[in-house]
Amino acid sequence: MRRSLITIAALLLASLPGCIHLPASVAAVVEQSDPPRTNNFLRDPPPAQAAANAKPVER
Amino acid sequence: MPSLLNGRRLRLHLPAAVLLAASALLGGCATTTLGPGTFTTWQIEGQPDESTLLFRGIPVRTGQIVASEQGSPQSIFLSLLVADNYRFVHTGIIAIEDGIPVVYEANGQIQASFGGGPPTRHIGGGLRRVTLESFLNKQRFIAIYDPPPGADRERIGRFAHDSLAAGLPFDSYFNREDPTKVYCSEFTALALAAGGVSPRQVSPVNPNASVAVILDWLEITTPDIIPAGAIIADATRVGLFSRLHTPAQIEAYFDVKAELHRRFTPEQKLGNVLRFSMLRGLKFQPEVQGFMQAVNTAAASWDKLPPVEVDQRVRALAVEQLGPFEPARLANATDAGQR
Repeated sequence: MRRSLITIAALLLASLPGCIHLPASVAAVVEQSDPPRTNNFLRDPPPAQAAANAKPVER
Repeated sequence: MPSLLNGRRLRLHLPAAVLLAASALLGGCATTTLGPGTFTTWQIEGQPDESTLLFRGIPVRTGQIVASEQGSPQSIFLSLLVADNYRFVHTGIIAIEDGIPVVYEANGQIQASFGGGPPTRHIGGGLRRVTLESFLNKQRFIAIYDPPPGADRERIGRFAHDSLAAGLPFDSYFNREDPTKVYCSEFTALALAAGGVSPRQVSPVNPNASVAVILDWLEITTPDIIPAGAIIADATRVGLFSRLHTPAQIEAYFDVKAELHRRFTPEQKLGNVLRFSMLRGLKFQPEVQGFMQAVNTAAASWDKLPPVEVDQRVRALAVEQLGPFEPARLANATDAGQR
């Protein structure tokens, strides 16, 4: 039921006038943020967390 | 534009902020009785004289300038398009007509369209007139200013009235060389020029690389914009108003805005400050939102602090919430990393 409602809502939204295409070049600078250290709006992670993030994932 | 062929279909997105900024200014707030009883900040600094009308205690007169700021993602987006930081993003002209204070403002509105292309091609609207009461109710931070000394107030008001009668359309391309279409601060500057004062101070567009990408897509080629804040540079404040925020919270918000601008260096992506959702449209990044909320909460008890200390505390919260920021050190680190 919920999925149906979402689908209907999505169809309605997609059919609204004014829909436009966002070029990939624009999407690249407005939909993604930079990681810490190169992002002036994002704190560096604590050292322990940074080290954990840097470790390869064990499988 | 060939790049559009690779585009993705979105309902709302950042460039739509150019449209949404206007709709944000329209707001959705219910009208309430105006006055110190319903506004957290109702600060009147101007003195009445024979040419003023006392509107709920505010000495208003034809030719005054109204400036406003919403503090929304859309207004921060518009602010970041310009190289210099200014407090306000929107201005208009006050006139007294039939004993009622009204505001003339240039206002862009999205037009229904099934065509492609950037949103700037689908923005309509133009000059409109709203009551000052409605304007005060719908904006988040509002200030009223007397124009610089020597201004012919009646001519300013007449220019606004005649421009509305002429159906002056909105200029979504921010081209100040073409006075047949106007954006908000351009209209205000033209009105003031008609009254003999020319605050046509301009600010270059932001040299930020991601801003260049956005402007290119929006087909905005102007090298500079008349910023709303520059309009009031030589004006005298008559009053400051906000329904929800104390004077210290207003001051702190402007310091937040300055801090975001300071950190938005040329290599920073707009996506570091703002984010998108297919359904929700333009929002602040969570860290930026958290910083803004932390400042607003803390500033509720800063009313006795001088502005300099408010600024220092905002910067301290920025370090806490967003991390330290030292432009020179970062630039050196980047250079070193590239070698």
